[in-house]
Amino acid sequence: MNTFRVLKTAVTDVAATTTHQPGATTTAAAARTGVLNLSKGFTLHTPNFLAPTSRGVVPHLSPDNLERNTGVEGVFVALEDFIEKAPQRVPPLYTYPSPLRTFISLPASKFLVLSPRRSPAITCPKANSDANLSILTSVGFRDLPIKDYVSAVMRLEPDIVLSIADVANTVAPPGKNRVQKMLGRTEMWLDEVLKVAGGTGVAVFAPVLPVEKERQRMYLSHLVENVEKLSGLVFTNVEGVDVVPVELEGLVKLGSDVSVGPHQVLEMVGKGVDLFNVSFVGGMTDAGIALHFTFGGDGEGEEGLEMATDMWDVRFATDLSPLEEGCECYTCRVHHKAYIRHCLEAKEMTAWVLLQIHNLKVVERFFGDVRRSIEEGWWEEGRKRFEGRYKREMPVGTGSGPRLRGYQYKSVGGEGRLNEPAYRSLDSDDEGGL
Amino acid sequence: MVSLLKLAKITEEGVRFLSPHDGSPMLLTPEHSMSLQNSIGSDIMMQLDDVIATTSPDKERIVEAMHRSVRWLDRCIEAHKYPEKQNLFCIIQGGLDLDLRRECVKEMVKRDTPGIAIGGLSGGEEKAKYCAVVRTCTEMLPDMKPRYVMGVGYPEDLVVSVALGADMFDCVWPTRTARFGNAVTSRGTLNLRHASYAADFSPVDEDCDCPCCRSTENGGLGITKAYIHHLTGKETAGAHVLTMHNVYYLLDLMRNARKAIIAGAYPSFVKEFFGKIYNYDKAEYPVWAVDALKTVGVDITEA
Repeated sequence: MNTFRVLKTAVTDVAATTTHQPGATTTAAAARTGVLNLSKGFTLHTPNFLAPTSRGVVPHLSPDNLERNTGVEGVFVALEDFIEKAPQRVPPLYTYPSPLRTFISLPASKFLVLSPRRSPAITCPKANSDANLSILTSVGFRDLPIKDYVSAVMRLEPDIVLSIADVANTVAPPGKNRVQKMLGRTEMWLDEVLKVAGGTGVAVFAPVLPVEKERQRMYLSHLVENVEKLSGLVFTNVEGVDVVPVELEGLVKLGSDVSVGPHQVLEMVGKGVDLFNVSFVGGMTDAGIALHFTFGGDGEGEEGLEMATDMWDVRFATDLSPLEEGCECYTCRVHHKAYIRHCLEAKEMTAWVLLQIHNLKVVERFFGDVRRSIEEGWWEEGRKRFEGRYKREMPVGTGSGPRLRGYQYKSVGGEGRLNEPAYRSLDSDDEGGL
Repeated sequence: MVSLLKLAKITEEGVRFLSPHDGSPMLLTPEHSMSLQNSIGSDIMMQLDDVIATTSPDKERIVEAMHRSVRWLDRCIEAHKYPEKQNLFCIIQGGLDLDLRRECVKEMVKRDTPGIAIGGLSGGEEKAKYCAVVRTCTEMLPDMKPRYVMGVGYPEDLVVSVALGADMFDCVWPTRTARFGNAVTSRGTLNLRHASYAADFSPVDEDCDCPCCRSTENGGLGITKAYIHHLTGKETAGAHVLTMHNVYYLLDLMRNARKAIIAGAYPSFVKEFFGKIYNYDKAEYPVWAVDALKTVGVDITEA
């Protein structure tokens, strides 16, 4: 049995203990703490975060590092990372006799959230159809048959499964007919997931579409009808949170793509979102940027601070201080800025390992402080202070990251070389050297 | 100064090259090399040497490089600030010419450095010639000093070189090849990028006790070949776990070699090692290894 209990909401200050039973009384959307209990014994205190994975790993962290040196409790895994040439070639994952978590050697202490696509997902040129979702695998754009995803729910035994949203591939807002189709398909696909999920104990999260409330009223009432079978809701944008009818307030709310940063997290926490797939962290780590924002602590009067620092900067070449003073992560306990900058400069993979460990620790601490602020009644004050203290945007990286892979970006044609060669010939001026 | 010769220019003064970081011109002299290693504080320091690919047809240049390496050794010894706490190793050069190697050994041994390296090998020369050079050098070297063969890391090369009297090795191959998805195992090197491993759910090496191969029940990570295949060349963590395995395998190989030597059982260790890789099919054993081992009285083809 998957259950979610709201422990405390920030506005009312009343410990309203509600489960997601239909008709249970809940307050309007506001920051809240809660406990998510998953059927396989995982307990998660919210607000909290999921670590995004790529091909089943939290980037740069081998399973032992993930276990020993991070406080990650759950990971976000995309099926599109595993199916390559399906259906022409059966993906090894489908013939693997054990659950997905064993295939990726996920430490037993972490729970697994299965999504059809990475988050943020690369836009596919081909539209979805009733039976297929357009996806990008490491061998190119393909179709993911909905029935494959549904049977994956049974076979791969995730702890949480995200049902599929039919989201348009265009930048422009969808027209009337397209919205109808989106809602129809999303509802149909959800029903298929719910059909198989019933006996498995997997928690099903239903997508809320990024369109206005009026336009998805029918779909939302379908969710309300099925609220007992659902454990959570998934949002792709901040605005989506506003459309949730009060009957669904007792479900866990997941922001599946937090690519902007902590300000976006706080805005969503303020609207009652509980769980966040922190996709901004990976980009920072790859760019060689160390995070150092904090929600707790004092520091009154400070404003306009950076939330992160580019470690490629030459001023760190001889800086023997840790990435962040007082940080208790492995990286800060054992290493200093100069070493990390040196590893970046040498394109040594250890740089990204150390940065990822630290960056995830900063995020873990941030969510711990947010939970504490709600429990202790200083959430609003803390949020205002954070917004005043830090710039809204993350700094832009100046150095180069690890080798870029095809499935990490979409080519638009005419770009320069993505991965520059390190060595040049002594004699000639030509760029290619050898 | 190691390989990448196309990228550098060598004069009596030192080696000129462009920084791989910012493209600025650099000059590495024996004195500067010592000063850098003194400030790093490494326990073992290597002299700056002049290396020519053993496969080079330019005989004269090889002779020059050997003599220059001896001269640079003198400059290094002179410039070394902490001989009492850091061990400077000389590096024997001389290409594949055994007389040149002997001359170099004679000159360098006179300098009485705490350890001796055999350099310039592992550059694509024939294995038989490689073995001849190692044996020629080790025969002349004093017993109580460590002998370090530079740039060697294939398991077969290690096992044979130990038989020929070498003590220490270094090589980027085990870790680099891990990044390319190649697993070094007791049954040879496996290219895990190959499609045949895509659905192979066994550990990288059944006999291995490394954290990557050990099952989760026994406190390991329980990584499968299929998962490495899935990650190789795409996610850095794939390189991390396979690197763990490859390094562990080589350390374990050398640990077992030491045990066998102490037990006086090195020949049978060598036999078992080759037997496992080639499935005891003696016709498959590399001729160079069989011949080189015979020169030190080990016959891996006999029962």
